[in-house]
Amino acid sequence: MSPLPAQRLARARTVDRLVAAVITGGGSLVLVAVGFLVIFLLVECLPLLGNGKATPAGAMPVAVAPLLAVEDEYRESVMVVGRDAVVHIVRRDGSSTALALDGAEAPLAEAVADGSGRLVAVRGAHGSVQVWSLRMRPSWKGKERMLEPTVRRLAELPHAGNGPLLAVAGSGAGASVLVGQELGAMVAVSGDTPRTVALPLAAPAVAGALTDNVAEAWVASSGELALFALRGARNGTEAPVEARAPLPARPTAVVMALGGVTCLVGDEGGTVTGWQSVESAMVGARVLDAAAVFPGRGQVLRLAASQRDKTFLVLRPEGADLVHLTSRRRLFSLPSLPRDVVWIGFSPRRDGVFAVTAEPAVHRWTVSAPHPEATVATLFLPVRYEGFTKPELVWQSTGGTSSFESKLSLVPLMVGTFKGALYALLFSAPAGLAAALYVSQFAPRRLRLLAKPAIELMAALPSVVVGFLAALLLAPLVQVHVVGVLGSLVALPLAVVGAAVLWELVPRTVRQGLPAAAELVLVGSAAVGAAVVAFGSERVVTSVLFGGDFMGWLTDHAGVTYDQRNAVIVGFALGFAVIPVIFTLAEDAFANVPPSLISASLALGATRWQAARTVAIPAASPGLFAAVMMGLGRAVGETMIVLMATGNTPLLSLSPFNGMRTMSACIAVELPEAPYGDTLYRVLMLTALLLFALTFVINTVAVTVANRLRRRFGRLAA
Amino acid sequence: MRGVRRWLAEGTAQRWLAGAALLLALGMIVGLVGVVVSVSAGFFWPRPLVELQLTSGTVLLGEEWGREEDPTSPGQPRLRLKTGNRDVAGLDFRWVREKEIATRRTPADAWLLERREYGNFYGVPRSLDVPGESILAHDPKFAQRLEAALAEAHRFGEQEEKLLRRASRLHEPVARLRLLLANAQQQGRDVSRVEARLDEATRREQEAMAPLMAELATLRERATGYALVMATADGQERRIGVPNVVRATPVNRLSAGGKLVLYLERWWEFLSGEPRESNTEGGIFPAIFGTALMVLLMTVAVVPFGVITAVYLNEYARDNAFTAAVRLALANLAGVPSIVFGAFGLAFFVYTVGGGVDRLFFSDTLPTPTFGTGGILWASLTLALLTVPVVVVATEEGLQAVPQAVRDGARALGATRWQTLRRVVLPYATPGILTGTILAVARGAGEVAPLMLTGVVKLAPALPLDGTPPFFHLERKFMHLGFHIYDVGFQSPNIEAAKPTVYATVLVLLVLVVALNLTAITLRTRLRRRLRSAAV
Repeated sequence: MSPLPAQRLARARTVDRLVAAVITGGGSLVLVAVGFLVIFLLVECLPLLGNGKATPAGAMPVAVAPLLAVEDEYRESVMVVGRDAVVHIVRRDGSSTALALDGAEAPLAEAVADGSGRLVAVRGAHGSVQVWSLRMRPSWKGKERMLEPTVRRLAELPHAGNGPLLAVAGSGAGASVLVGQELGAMVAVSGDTPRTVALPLAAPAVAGALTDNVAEAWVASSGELALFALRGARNGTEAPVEARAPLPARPTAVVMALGGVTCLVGDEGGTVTGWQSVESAMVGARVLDAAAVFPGRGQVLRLAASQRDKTFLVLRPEGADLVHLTSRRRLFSLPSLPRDVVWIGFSPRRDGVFAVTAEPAVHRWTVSAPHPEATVATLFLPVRYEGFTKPELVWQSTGGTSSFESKLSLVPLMVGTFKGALYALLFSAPAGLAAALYVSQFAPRRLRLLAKPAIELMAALPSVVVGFLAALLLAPLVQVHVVGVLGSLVALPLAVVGAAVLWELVPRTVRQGLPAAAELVLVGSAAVGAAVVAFGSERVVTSVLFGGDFMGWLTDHAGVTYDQRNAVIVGFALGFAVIPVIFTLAEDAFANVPPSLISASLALGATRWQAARTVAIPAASPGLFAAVMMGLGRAVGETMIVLMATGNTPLLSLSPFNGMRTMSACIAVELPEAPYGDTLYRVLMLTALLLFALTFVINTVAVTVANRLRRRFGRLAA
Repeated sequence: MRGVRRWLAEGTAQRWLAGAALLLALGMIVGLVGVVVSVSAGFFWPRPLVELQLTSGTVLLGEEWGREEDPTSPGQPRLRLKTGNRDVAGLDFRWVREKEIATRRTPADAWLLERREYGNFYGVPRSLDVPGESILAHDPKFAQRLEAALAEAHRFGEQEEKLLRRASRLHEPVARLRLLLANAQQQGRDVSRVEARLDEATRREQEAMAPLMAELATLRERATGYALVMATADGQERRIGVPNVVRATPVNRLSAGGKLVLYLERWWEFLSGEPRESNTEGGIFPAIFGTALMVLLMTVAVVPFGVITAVYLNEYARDNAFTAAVRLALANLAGVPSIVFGAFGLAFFVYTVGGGVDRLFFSDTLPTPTFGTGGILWASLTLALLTVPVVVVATEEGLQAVPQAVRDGARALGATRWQTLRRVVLPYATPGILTGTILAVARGAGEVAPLMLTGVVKLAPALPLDGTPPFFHLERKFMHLGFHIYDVGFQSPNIEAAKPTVYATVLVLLVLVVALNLTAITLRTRLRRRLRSAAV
């Protein structure tokens, strides 16, 4: 006797209940996983939408009338250049030290800094100009980081005239200052042989900027903006004007955006305009073009450009705004900005902003704006990038330099994705549907049993193998024999139809005596014959139709170039992935049509074809539609084949002979290189999310349609 | 007119077109497999060494690797000659115009040396130097002595490798402490203790390393005594260290049987060897191993998950909206592009989970990531998610094959649901589960795109499973057959020389995947037969 059956029973029941809970939980885990996948991708790309924000990080008093200020890389201290010719280093903890600018005559009349804030030009009480380098040099003592302030005189510029200092630029070797003159401006260059170059305008210059390499100078007078070329200009000469443009309002501030291509001009009307020099309609000539306009209210007091990206700060009497050049997006205003700001600037890493007020104090903000360059507009609409003459859709995520303007338009990738899918479906949809029709309606049973697993095997072929062969074996072959390939595309169906016509001429008794498999042999030989003829007559066809050179003909007559790895290759290669999907689902749909319907039709005297055309195809059509949809989903998401068999260039061309870059391939290539949390990373995550959404919609529609079909005929069959 | 209509109604042309589509699809598979097999299988077959004297007087020795029309002068054929000797000539391949060839012969005394570095060498041996003597090539014992020297050099190589492994193990603590120190400095932590430990470890390493290095030096010294003096086709003499030679063969003297042996030897070396010359030569063992281990880990994760889901859907779930949602999720899981899983795997497994693990358990090596970067664990989990639908669909089919009467019988005898499931239903459904597992394995072995984001590398310095504790290094990056194809085929600097390797890898992967699928299909066909009989 088993001991205590009641206890054992109770235990069995408990186990049973426990297992039921585990299995139910495990089963719903699939739902959780999919939900989690969506939510997680969403979480990864949501920060793209945020404008970012600035939070006040306190204020420190300064004991001097300030002229300008510079913050160090670690945001521990601000160096304030005062009228007393002393640099006051104000630390975050409130302590301060002072370093004298030895040799500069106090009180200083004025001072300017270059873009990086490391170079400062000052004009002394008696009009002499000096250029200083200000740095906070880090050193480590154990775990403690020390910042050592260093102040070094780079150059004396006694020949810099008496006008207002507009800009300074240069390197350790020498410095140049831009000085306003009665008619225009001049550039004074230090060095072994000091030189001055005149930049003549019709009116006195009020603002200006030098590019970091001192190759160009932008000078603004009250009615005009001009770009001068400085490279190669000799002492005492006038620099040539590259281009000029009238200004609608009096300019008040000029600064170069990072990269030295766009010159930002702020005026008293409150507008900031990004000017670029572009190729004019006349060959060789250049014109200035207002590529970007940022309107605002109140005179622009100061502009400051970030040294990390294309963000800049606009100071107006009402407040200070952070604006991004590429996305034309006003990110946010600095909260609780004090009155009477005399100087404002970015921290070197663009993670902070500081301002110096007339009532001597330094105010600091911590800035977090991680993705200013990504907006719905930059991702999906044409954008006018630097150096472009019109808005365009471009994907070019990384460039050679740190000042590279990343171009993150998803449109070329989406177009590429759909182009690949389109060419794939053009080939695979007819092939897959027709093959399924044949197998389900006409083929003998044994062929069906062979064909279905064979096509299933096709689905299992690793896409990396298919892509590899398509790119390295097929693409070069097709390039040599394009005409033959295109010829076969036309000749094959014609030959099969022609052979069928001829076959009808054979006496019916002979025809019906033949097994169904023999019919396929005939079809096959007709197709092979057509291909042989098409490739055999390739040379003749090429010389008759295309003057002996198809590629040349293509460029001359159709204006299309031929890439070796193109949409035709991809379309064919994707067939390996798409045909099985379409075939399997279509075959399923045909199999779900109750045989009684077909039998009834046949009994009423229809031929097999008529039964297929009038009964099977209409009845299965929702399933066929679902099959094509699933095929589309597969084509859209396939990665390795398109990665290998397209040129992977993000082109906006629908030509069958050009390559493309698809969303999936782009993710595969660029995501491993994208730093975590970077804009590129998030944009690629967004791309993944879009792919998911796309396939989700496609799959859901297809599954719903197929289910409905099954239910309908399920009832009918019963 | 009526004729046309009747003809259309008969539908022969339509039927034939549909048949042509089926033939096309079948032809595509057969064609692809056929192309791979025919191209790949031949690369390792020994080719005769031909010596070409050109009209210009140049003499070339090498293997003929193809013939095509000369693009610069149409109608004229040219041939691709693999002349090897990269250290002498700088290039492996040369184009030779057919009309420039004055004489051609297959010299019986030409040898092929397959080397560890610089690729193949083609030439005529002059002598073999071993310590204390020099054997001339026409010495009848030459071949025998060369074989002995190769075996000896091979032993040297093994010893050297063993010593180097020991050296790298000795260096490990120092390397680890250096990393710690660098990270501590970067983060401004106290470094004095780490520095002291580093000094101590360095001293100990130097102590232990000195005898090792001496041993290594004598070994290398002894190895240099073994060398082959070879003459190139144009008469230059080269001294080639025997340890650098993998195999030396007088190819033109080989009989058919000898060629077959060489062919098989090359395949074996390919399957079991390490890659050389930035993956373009040598073997693919690490890739095979990485693929297998990754797939194994994936199976461990996906099979329970998939089976539980299938059991839930088929045995426990009621037909309600929730079940419909689970099914829809499953269908979508099957339809979502694999690269999306890769992106998810990177964001979730690598950066979020891996980063979290690092912060919790490996904070002393941060910011250098341990689990917070791609690795075999994350890759296999990502693929497990991807292959869940495969397992579920096949398992469900297996469960449906279980006759309801069997279930009812078990329940009627008083078994609980779980007892029925465990004792009756699951054993009955095993073929279905097995089919699903095999299909998932095949899918996992062939999938590349998600791996590119979650931990595959072109060359892994160490296998994820080895003799150093904890033996299983789940955080390590790994090599994979599919990625190997992509990498060597597309990113390789010397694509022509890499061709045999790539095509052979393609063949291996294809054979693997096709064999797995055929097994699964066979299993399932049997299962379906049972399903049909069960329905009766």
